[in-house]
Amino acid sequence: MTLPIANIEVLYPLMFACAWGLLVLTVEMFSLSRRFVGIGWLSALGLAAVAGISLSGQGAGEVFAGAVALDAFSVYFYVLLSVLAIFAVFLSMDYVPLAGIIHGEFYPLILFAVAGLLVMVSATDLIVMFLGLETMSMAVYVLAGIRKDELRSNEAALKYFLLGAFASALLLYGIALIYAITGSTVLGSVANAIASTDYLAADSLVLMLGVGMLLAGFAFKIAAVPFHLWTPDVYEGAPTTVSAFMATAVKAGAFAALLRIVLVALAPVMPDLSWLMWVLAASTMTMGNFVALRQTNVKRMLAYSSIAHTGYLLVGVTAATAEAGAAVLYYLAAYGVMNIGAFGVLAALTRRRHALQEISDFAGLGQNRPVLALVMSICMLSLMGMPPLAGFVGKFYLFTAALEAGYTVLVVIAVLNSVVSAAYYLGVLRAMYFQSADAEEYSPRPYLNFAVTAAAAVTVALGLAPSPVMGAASRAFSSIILGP
Amino acid sequence: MVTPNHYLALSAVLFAIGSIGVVVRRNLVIIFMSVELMLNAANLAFVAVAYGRGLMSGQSIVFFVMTVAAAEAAVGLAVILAMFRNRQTVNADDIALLRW
Repeated sequence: MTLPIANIEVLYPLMFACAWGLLVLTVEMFSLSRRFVGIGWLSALGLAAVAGISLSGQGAGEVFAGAVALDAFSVYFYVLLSVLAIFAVFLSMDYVPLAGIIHGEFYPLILFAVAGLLVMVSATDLIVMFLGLETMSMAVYVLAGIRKDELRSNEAALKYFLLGAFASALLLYGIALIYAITGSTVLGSVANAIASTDYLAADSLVLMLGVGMLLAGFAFKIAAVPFHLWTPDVYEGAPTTVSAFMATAVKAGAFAALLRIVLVALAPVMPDLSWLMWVLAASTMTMGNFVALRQTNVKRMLAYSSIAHTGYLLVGVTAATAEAGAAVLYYLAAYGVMNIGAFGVLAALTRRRHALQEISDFAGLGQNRPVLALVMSICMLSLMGMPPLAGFVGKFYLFTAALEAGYTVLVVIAVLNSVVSAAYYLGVLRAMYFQSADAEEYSPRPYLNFAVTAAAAVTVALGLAPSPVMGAASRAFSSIILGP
Repeated sequence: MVTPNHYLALSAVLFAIGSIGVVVRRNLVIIFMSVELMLNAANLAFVAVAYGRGLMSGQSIVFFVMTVAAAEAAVGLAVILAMFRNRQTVNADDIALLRW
């Protein structure tokens, strides 16, 4: 059978993710067990297949008149997002019954969110990007509020939804204004139109307003100051494995789309706007780190730490050189696995319907559950930037690239921030190893333990041997600058 | 004579009304309606630009945005309803369980 669309192979990974989501949804209807472990396996299998299809190299190119592209950049993120989602699924296979989630839609919703993210990272048209963003957001709103009887989960979903919808409307109106000036929503044409007109004179206000609204919408999605206020509330109230998914996969997808916009569509105006990214980066990391210092709830602390990491990543976006872009891509992978590990340990501490999230709940973990404590230590040290772990290598690449691009002051701020962050990351270690508590009985959690151990192992491996991922990252990044 | 620029101005006014509504109103349903107004303001802008410049793309974009708005209404009202069942309130000020 041939479909009347040229280059339809480009869409195979996407189509597969959507179809597999529907399949899992159908199978789940007939599922007899309320633990949904089989459904989890089925979802993980589908996600692995998405990564496999995109790696198979079929159909590189563009489809729908240049609205969706499967270049090396898309493939890098397809694989990264699939891997992060598989981690989230494995964490959930034990967490879902523990948290008392009785809705089998949980796993299909993760698949639909991944499908939205895939659209978002491979879109080369602002409207297609918006559609991917909305598909993803819609699934994640529901995931955040999936515990319908739990007030905190309700509240997290509500805050995320209202602010998310507001940010989406802002983003869409920004796109409309850019469309009004340039007459196109395709990234390359927008860049050409901006470059060929004297945007500083005529229509400059409307165009700048549009660019500002677009960036504000994305700043919300990546949790950058001053659009970060939802982050701690939503991460705290949402089920822990959903928070893990939001902090890693959703952030990676949003950064991918932001990179495409900033470096392709807005390339002609970026030299005049780099000060804005500079301020965004500096304020985001400083704000995130200093508020994280005074948190006693580890989940909220991780939320502020995720805001701080948005700031570090924005340093790379500000520098906008080939090295910095590759470093952002590498750091998104490193940050993803170490954060999955940290949220995973939090999920592993859950008792029946009762989440243990305070730092004091970590007391004595080093004696009572040494493996979990070791995983948490690796993740905390990596988030802090301790060599030879992935977090250190990522920061090293990022900050070196920014230094070479001439952003010395920004790098100094970033390094000082990393030092400040040590205080709260080490606080968790102190509780685990230097305070004692009575051992508790836990039900066996094979999938959770497997997933967090694997995340810690990947964190170490990415730190010791960064070159394969770094190589893929720089190939991926150069594909959006130079074309496929 | 009504030109596309008049429609653009109207869309800017609608967008402003919507964003002010989100900020000043405390009823969740009204906040949500204000967001929908903002999306429709963007729709109007797309159509006006497409008409003024003689393009088709802006007109077709509106269909996608309408679909997004409909899906958002389904999810959003469900989220508000779940909250209302547990709390018997749709006032944004009563929702303050999570804070630092």
